[in-house]
Amino acid sequence: MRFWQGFWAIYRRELFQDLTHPVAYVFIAGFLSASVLATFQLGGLFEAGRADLSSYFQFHPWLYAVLMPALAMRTWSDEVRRGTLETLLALPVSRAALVLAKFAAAWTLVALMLVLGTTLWLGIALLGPVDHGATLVGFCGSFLMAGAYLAIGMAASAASSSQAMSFVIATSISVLLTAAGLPIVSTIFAGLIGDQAALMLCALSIQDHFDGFQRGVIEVRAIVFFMSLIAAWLAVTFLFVTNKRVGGL
Amino acid sequence: MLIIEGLSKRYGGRQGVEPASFTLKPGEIAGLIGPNGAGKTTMLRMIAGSLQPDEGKVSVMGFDLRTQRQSAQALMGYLPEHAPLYDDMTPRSYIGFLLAARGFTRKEIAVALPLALSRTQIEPVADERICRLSKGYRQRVAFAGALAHNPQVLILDEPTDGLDPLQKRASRALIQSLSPGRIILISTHVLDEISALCTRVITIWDGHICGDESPEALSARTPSGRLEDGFFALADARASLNAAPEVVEP
Repeated sequence: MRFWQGFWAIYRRELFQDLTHPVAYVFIAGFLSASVLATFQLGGLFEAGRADLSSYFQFHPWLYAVLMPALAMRTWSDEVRRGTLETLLALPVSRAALVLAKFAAAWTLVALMLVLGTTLWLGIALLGPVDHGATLVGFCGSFLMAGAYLAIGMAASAASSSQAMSFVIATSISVLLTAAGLPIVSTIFAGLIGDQAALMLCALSIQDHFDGFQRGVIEVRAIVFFMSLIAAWLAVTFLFVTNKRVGGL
Repeated sequence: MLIIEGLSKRYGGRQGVEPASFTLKPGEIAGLIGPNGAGKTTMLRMIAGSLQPDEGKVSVMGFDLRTQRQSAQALMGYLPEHAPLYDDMTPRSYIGFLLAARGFTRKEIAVALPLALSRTQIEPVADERICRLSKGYRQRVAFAGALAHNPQVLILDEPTDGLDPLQKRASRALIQSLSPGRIILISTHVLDEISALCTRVITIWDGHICGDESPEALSARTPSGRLEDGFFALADARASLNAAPEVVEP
């Protein structure tokens, strides 16, 4: 019971903070404009002559690799900078509730961002017959994938009291995990760390796991992958927050 | 009872707080005094549960802070140093948030919140954004957050920091009025505060507790009978102890 009371109180506060901060709106506007621009300019939506949004979704991993660290970088480092982490840690709230509430609030903002992105779906539907089921799967997969990038960003934010540093760390990890599946990257890795290790790294490719969703296919393997990624990085965040309690304050 | 047993903390190779032990009973107002960097804030953070000690134990009304952290923290109110607050909130929403996180229902918050606002005299600014408040008001908002849930143990790190003389007087009166039945531990380096408020003085120096007595006993350490002189006498004794050459076994 106390877990949920703490969770909801912190979730509401975080969401309120996000929604009253201009950065959130800049972030949403940035995502919407960049995704639409990429869809038409790089994805060639009109040239393809098909009313589907696969060209819209194909750029999401790369956009998230930069945008999610930007969204997450304030979550913990700002608390440390302001000194409010000390107040939070002195509350009778479990550390897990604290981490999950902050993550859930940021993920809610991502959901809002994707809901606003459905205007493109409506626009394309006016141009021709759209496979609504496949598009819905694409949006759900994109939301799940965004959660994985967000969890990486939160772990980086908890690891560093500097927002810039946490952004750089999270973006580097995110870009690495996004690019891991590209043939050129796997060739480079194979030369650097050996074939087996490169193969293992490529198996962690976010891009590869999102491919199915992009085509409107629900893959249990991909769902498990993204959920595991979220759980693993939130566990890292939890350890860092607990570590701050040990000596980082 | 607030029982501190062998509480210690190291920062890298430096000893932040040497093993410290003391017990506080309800009704006591204990002042933790010492120079800047003596380890006062580290000690209070460990007691409040926001900093994990290397060794030692904190027991709050029978709840072990290490194994029953949430139960122990539910009984404590903590005012951190420099009154950290969320600037985008109002005092009303901030205190409401703290109460909700502590598990208070809406009905309970509707009772506790106005009481905390009036006790700390921040009603006139209750709906202004915290970023627009003066340092004195910010300090009182943080104070209100620490006492809103009616804690049995109050831990206050420099509670009158940034307050003008009138506000200081009001804050001291409030602390005294809260004292019956509660344990209050205050960190300060203002000796006036000790003589005005405390029933007990714990002196900390270089992370080491070098005195634990009543303000009267501390004052009586020197012929002048002044608290300030008693504190300086303790400081000098500590300094000469540090300067003494180490005894080497033959």
